[in-house]
Amino acid sequence: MKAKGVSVRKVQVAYGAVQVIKEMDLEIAPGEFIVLLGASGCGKSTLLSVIAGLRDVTAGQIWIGDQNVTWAEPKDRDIGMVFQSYALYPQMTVRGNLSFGLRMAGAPKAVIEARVTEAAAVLQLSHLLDRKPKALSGGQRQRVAIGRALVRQAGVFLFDEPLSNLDAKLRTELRAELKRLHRELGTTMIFVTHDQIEALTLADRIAVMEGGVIRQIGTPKEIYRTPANRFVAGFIGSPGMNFFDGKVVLDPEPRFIGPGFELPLKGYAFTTPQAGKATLGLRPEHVGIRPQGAHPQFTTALTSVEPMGAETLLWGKLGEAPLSIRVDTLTGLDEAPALTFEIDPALVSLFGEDGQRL
Amino acid sequence: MISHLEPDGPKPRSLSPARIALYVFLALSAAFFLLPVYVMVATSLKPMAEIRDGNLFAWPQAPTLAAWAKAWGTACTGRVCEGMSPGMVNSFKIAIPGTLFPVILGALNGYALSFWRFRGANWVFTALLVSTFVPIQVFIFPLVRMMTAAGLFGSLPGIILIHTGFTLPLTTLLFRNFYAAVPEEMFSAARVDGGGFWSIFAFVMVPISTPIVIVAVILQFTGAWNDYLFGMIFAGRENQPMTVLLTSIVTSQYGEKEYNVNMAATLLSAAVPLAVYFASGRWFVRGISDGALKG
Amino acid sequence: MTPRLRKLPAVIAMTPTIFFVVVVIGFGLLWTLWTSFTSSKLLPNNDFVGLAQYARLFASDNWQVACVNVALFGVLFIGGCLALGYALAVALDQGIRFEDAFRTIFLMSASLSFVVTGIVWQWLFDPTFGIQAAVRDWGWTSFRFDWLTREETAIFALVGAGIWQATGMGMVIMLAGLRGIDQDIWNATRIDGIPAWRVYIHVIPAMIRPMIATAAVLLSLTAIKIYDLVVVMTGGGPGISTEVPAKYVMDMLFQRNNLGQATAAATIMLLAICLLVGLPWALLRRAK
Repeated sequence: MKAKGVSVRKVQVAYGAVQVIKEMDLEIAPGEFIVLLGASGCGKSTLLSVIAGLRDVTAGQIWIGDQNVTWAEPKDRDIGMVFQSYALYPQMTVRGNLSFGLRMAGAPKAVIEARVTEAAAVLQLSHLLDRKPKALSGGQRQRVAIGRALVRQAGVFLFDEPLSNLDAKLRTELRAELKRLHRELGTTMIFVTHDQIEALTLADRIAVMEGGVIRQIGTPKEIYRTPANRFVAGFIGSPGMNFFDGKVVLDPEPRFIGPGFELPLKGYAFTTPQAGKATLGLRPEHVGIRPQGAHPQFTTALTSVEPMGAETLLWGKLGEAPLSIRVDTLTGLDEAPALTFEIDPALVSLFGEDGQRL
Repeated sequence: MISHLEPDGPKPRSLSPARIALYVFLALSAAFFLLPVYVMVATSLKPMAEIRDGNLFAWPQAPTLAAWAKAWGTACTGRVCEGMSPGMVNSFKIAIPGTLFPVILGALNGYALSFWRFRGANWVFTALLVSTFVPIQVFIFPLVRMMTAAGLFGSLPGIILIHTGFTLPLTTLLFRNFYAAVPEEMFSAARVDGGGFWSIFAFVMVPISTPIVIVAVILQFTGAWNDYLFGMIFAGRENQPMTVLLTSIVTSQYGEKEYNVNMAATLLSAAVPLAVYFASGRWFVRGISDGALKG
Repeated sequence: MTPRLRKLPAVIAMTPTIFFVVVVIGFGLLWTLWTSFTSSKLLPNNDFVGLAQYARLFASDNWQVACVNVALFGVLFIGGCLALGYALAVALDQGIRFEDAFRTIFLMSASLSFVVTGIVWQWLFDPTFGIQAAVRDWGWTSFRFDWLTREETAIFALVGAGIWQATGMGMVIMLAGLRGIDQDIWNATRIDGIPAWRVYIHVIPAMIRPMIATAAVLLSLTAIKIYDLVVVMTGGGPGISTEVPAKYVMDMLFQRNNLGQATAAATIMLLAICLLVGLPWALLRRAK
């Protein structure tokens, strides 16, 4: 199986007057693990169905490898797909589920046997081959669903929220497994999810979608550290980023003037420096709780405390606006009445009036 | 050649051979189901001469309602020549209570069996289940004796009682299956709010039961209307429903059979269930899809 | 309030039903069973004759024919209704135009009584005025459609009429099953490139097994109790070629005044239903 690139070219999908996907371009390199991330209704699953050929495009082209597959049947696109509900055939054993597609395609018995054995070994299903889906746990069922895609030896694998029906522990396990699988197989994988942890842990690149458009595409680190716009900034990160409305002044020195506070922006890497109304974004974990004196300092009374286990969220104020601060529970700061902290301007994000990163 | 056309935008649609075969199959099936009805209507509108000489499938040259009038008012059932008209009223008198009682009792039973598992509830349920399977022939003679002893044999209350009793297991099963799918929490919440047996039924269960009530009412009404066996044995001469009159008319003619009258009479007896079906078939189908027949 | 007292209204609400089950069903069953062991004729008596009624029953030509007929009718009728009903349900599930109209047509005859169905089909099968005459009138002069007048074919005419009447109900139940199938299953089979017709044969029936079972149970109950259709369409003829058990019981009760035979035959019907329908159904429920 050879990894293939996927290219989405000026694709639009509409149901009547409703544009589910607005003119979209997306280039996925061979062997890349890309995650389509967004809330429900953002068009991510539609995009996946369009790539799979389960839905027609309204306009544009889909290329897989060096072939234009816009009108091709799903089976002719060299893809394998894993579904949220597993979509296993209930009356067939695991072996039957894995081999059904190949049998229907008339593949030689030896080939079927070999591929099933191999897929089962990779997914640790060998001892379950004669069971029916009913007798499997959720995690095992999802492995079978993955196995059904594997035996196709396709160049591209599509995953439609495959982990969202599993409990938290299993999800973590299968996440690791998928990552290993991707490393071993080296195939292109396109993975749809609404879970940002999944996206951040699995992806080579994440495409954050909203309202049928990709709002940002980049590595997990880029998405997290330098969100391209206010939407992505708010969407990624939990607990969410603190936002402060104010304005940016560039002369004489760049600084941000917020409600009741002022922050010099020395060290902030502007993309497009621009004075005027702006929003400052600061992640709760980027509040410097042990000021070294290198950055601007602030002091706040702590109004409430939310323990989250290993970490604790403290609530205080930056100027007049509420500020959440994420600290290690072991620091003991949850007992403190007040806190002095610093803000490293290199860690904040600034967004202009149009929501784009400054 | 258009093979150089680069695929772009939506896939062009074409009517595939499979699609054409599908519509041919649907059309043929529709013909199979419709043709007998068409023949019935056409025959009922022809005079006997045209039936003798013409083609079964031909539309009447001069449609006439004479056969309908005879079937309705003057056709003979044995010695009486009043046509189907008395049967219409009788069928309504039987079918309406024969629908209401089993549906209401069935809903109560289903509710009691699903949520109030009293001692012996399982036993009652099993007995009901079994009784849906028992052929009616097993009970006919003992029933005749019992009804006679109670003075109900050949009376309207008698036939209604028979219908209610013998369809009660089915309606109970329908409602029990429906209520089994209602979340237990709903019932628990109503209990916490202080609801008792009757108030929970009236204010919580009845309002959510529309789909199954529609299915049960349609099944019961058409079932009671279409019944022949009970009507023939238990209804008595005064209360004969349309199905019984229809068979008498069709089988009691001397000399040449009046097919047009037979068909008109048949259509008359089918008119009400057909009307019910056309008026509510859509909800019936939806009710079945909503789980009325699961389990 | 004690739990028992709290549940009292439920018991009260069910009293009519319990009364009916105990008195009518229970008493009727026992009475019929007992009478089948007596020499009862016009009036029931308590003259115990052991299995004599059953011996005479199974020696009777009418009963033997009736049993063969109901088996033949049952297999063909149930098989036909399920096969055609499934085919129609599948056809309706293809996102076709005029779906509502087609479904209405297919289900329409299900609202009719067997009496109506019997009269219509008797008319269609009439050799002098029915379909046979019409087709010959069109020029195919050797065309035969006289099933009702020939002993060896009359039962098939009943099957045809029965299928016409009962297919719609099976179709609706199975269509409900098809509509409940996870769209992802369809997506998965499309990715695997399995043609839809193979999916409908290899995958779907197993997934809607509960619906098929429900339809099969309802149809088999209809088949075993079949009576009205036979009375109206053939009256058991020609000869005794379309006798059925339910009709045998009724004839023994009301025409031959032979209670012993009637109750013995009814008991056998009951046993057959228990074995053929009740048992598999109970097992299926337990398996679930």
